[in-house]
Amino acid sequence: MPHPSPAVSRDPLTPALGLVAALITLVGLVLSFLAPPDVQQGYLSRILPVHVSGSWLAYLSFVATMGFGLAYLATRRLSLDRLAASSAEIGVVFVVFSLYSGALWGRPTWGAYWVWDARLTTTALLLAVYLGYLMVRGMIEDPHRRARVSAAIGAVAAAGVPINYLSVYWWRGLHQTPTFSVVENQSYLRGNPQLLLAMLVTLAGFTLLYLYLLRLRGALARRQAELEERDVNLELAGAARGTLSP
Amino acid sequence: MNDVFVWWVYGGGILLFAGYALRLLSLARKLDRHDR
Repeated sequence: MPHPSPAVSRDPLTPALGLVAALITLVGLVLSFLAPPDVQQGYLSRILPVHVSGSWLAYLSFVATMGFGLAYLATRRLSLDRLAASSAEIGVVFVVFSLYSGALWGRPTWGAYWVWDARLTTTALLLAVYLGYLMVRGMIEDPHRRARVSAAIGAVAAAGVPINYLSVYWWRGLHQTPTFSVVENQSYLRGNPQLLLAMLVTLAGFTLLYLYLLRLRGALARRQAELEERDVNLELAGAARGTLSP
Repeated sequence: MNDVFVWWVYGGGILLFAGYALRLLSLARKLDRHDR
């Protein structure tokens, strides 16, 4: 993975994190292919490790967006707001991947790429809400006002995460109950330990990938903010010179 | 037959994350140009 910003490339941890994330994800993918096929799903079960891990990372990203936003409200540090926005953006990528991989799993399993099932619909809503979060940020210029509004939206929008997770219990649609069920304290994969291992390794790889992308995106956002501030200061200095000169 | 879907998921996933990495790269280049 590239580490494009000079600010980032001076930091040795970020590229190392990216490399480790890529390696662990690759191991997870190889393990998915070595695991025996699922009794019900056959070789389509190879989609499960990436689909479930992608969905969990979308949850993590959106909960982190709320956490960073609330931390901003408590401290008024703009770096926390930048991390909240970065996390939301990465969450959007993960939720797109979750919808995409789910659609390609659904076609051979259910006979359709898309159904208006509660889980799928709430996932699409989650995507729409966080795209809206990013659009609203683009419309507010004042950094502190943008951070306050974003923190409020981020806190409300995070309610979508438990709603999405529990939707399969509340509405009993077509989507199966969670592969890792917190409610029932069991896993759908308990009968296939090799696939379970592949899932856990992929989840670890994706988590590191999230941390890598968060550091990278956060560093770029910081640089962007510094340049914007410099431009404003230059403009103010120019305006002051113009006013003072005879 | 179903293997095709598995490969589409893996290929599409790689393209999606590579696309996001390219977006970050292009943002970094834009900032570099702006900095000069």
